[in-house]
Amino acid sequence: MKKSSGTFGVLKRFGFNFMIIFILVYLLFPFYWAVNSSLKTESQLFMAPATAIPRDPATLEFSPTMQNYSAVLRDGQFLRGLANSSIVATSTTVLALIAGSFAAFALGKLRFRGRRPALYLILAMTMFPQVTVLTGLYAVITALGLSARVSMIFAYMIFTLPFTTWVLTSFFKELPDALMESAQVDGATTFQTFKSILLPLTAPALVTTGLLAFIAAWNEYLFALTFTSIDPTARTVPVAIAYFAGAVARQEPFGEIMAAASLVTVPLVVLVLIFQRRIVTGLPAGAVKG
Amino acid sequence: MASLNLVDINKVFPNGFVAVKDVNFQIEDKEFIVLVGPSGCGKSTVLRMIAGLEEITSGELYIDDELVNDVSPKDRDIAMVFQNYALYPHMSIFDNMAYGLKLRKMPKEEIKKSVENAASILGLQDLLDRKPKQLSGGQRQRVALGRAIVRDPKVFLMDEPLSNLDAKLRVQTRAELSKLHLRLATTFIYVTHDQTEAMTMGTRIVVLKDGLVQQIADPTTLYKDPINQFVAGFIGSPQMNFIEAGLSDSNGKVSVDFKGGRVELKPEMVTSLKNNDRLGEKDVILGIRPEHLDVTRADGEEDNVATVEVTELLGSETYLFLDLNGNTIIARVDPTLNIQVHDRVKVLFQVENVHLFDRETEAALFYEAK
Repeated sequence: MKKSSGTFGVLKRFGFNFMIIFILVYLLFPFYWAVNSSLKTESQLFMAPATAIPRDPATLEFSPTMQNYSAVLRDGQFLRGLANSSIVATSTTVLALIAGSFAAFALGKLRFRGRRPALYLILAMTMFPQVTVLTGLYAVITALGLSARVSMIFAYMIFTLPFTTWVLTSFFKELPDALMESAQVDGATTFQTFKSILLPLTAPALVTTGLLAFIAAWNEYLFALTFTSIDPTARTVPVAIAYFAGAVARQEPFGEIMAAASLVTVPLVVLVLIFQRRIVTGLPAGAVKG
Repeated sequence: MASLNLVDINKVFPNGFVAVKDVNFQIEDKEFIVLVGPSGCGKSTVLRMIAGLEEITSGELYIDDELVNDVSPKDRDIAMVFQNYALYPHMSIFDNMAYGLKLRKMPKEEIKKSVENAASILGLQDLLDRKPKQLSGGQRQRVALGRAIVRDPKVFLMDEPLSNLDAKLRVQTRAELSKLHLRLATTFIYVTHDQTEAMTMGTRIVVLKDGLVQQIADPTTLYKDPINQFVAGFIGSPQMNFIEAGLSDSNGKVSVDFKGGRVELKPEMVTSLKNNDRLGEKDVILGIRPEHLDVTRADGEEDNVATVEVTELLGSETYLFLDLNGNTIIARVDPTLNIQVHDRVKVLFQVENVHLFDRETEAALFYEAK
C-alpha cells in the first residue's frame, strides 16, 4: 500500500485500523464473553456490574473457577452429545465429500446430456430454506423408521452435498483437460483417472469444503432438535446444551452452558489449525475459479 | 510399429462446425508423418481422432488393419505427447513415466528398467525424483516424450510438442526427435503449424486447410511441386512471391506478362500446360520462390527492373524486399553483392522454377497428378 501523508492520510490509516479492530471485537467478543462467563461461579455471574474477568465478589481479586468445566465433563448428556456430534458431523462430511467429488468430476470434466440443468438444479438446492423441508422430512423419517442419527446425517447432506458439489465442480473444471486425456492415453479408465490423477490435485478444495461441511453439521440445531425428539440419547451437542437443566427448578446453569459452548468450539479450532495451510490455498482457488 | 488407414474421416462438432472433411490417407509403418496447416485447419482434431480422444463423426480409422473407431484410447496402443506436456503435477518424474506401465500391471523390476532406459535416452537420469514443477520447460518436454517412449507404443502421436520451447531449444529438439524416430523405428504422427518443423522432420507431410487435405507428399515434392497456391505459400520461408499475371500465346511461344516484366515459358512447360488443358488460361498468378530470382545491378531502363526497399542480412544470405512496379517481391541474394536500399536492380526469373496458379481456384497449372 502507498504511504499517504498529511491529515487525510492519518485519518485514512486511523479509519482502516479502526475498522479492523471493530470487526475483530465484533467477531471475538461473544466468544470471549462465553469463556469469561464459563470461568465464573454462580455468584460471580450475578455481580453487578458484570466483570470483564472473573473476580472475587468480596475482594475483587482475579479468581477463576474450573467448576463449570468439571461439571460439564462429568455430565453424561454432554459427553454423549459430543460423541453423537462427532459421529454425525464426520459421517456427513465423509459422505458429502465422496458423493460430492464423484458428482463434481462428472459435472466438471465429463460431457453428457443434461449437465447444465443438473448444475443449476444443484445451485438452486443450496438456496433452499431448511424450514420448508423440515416437517416433510420428519414425516418421511418416521414413516421409514430411520434412527435419529441416520436421519440427521441424511438431512445434513441436503445442504452440504450441493455446496461441496458446486465448489468442487468449479475446481475440477479448472484442471486441464489434457491431464485427463493424458491419463486416458496412458491406459487409465475413467475411474482410475479420477482416483489417481484428478482427485489428488483437488486435495486443497476437498479439505476446505470438507471443513465447511463439518462445521455446518457440527453447529446444526434445527434438524437435530426435531429428529432427536423421538430419541433423546441421539442428541447432538447443540441440542444437549440447550437441554442443560439446573440443580434447582427454573435455574439456568449459565456457567455450565458457557463452559460447554467453549469446549464445543475446540475441535473446530483444532481442525482449522491442522489444515490451515491447505485452506489458504483452497479457499481462493474454490472461490475465484467458481 | 503400425500402419494406419484413414478412410473418409469427417468430424462435425455438436455446434455444427465441420472441423475435418473427407480426410483420406494411409500411413506406412515407421513413417514420420507431419500434419501441418494454419490454426483451425483441423490437424489437431485429426490427431485426437487417431488417439481416440475425439469421436469420429463418420468414416473409418484402421490401425494395423483393425477398425478402431469404437476402441477406447487405452486399448489403441498409442502414446501421445501434449502441447503443454500434461505431466501429473503430484507425481515424481519416475512415477510420471511409470504410470502407464503400472496400469498395465507390468512387474516392478521391468518398469524400473524401462523407465531408466528411457531416462538415459533423454538424459533425465538425475531428475527422476523431482516433481514436474521443479523442471525447466525443455526438461518437462523430455519427460513427456519419455512417458511416451516407455510405453513402447505402436504409434507416437505428438500435438505441437515444441511450441512451448524457446527458439534455440526448438531447433535442438527437432534434431533429437528425428534421431529418436530412427532409433525407435516406430510410426510417428506429428502435428504442427510450423512449416519448418514439418519440412525438417517429416518423411511425409499432410497439408491441411479448413478441414480439407490439400496435399500429401514428401518435403521435397511439396516444396518443388505444390498442388495449389495455398501449399506453395505455406511451405517455404520466406514465402513464395505471388504476382498477378496474364498468359499470352503467340505462335506457340507462351509467355507470362505482368506489370514491369515478362517471362517466356520453356517448351516442356508449355507441353505440361497443354497436358493439363490449361493453355487457354488468361488470368493467372505467377509464383516464384525468393531463391529462384537472380538479381543483378541494373544498367539502364529495361524490363524486370525493381527498386530495393529493405535489405535483411542474415549472415549467409541476404533477403531483398523489392518493389517491382507495385508488386512487392522478396529475393534471396549473396551478401557479397552488397546491394543497398534504393538501389535499382534487374530481376531475372529462373523460368524452370516458375509456378503458375489459377486465379479463381488457386490450383497449380503445372501440377500433374501422379
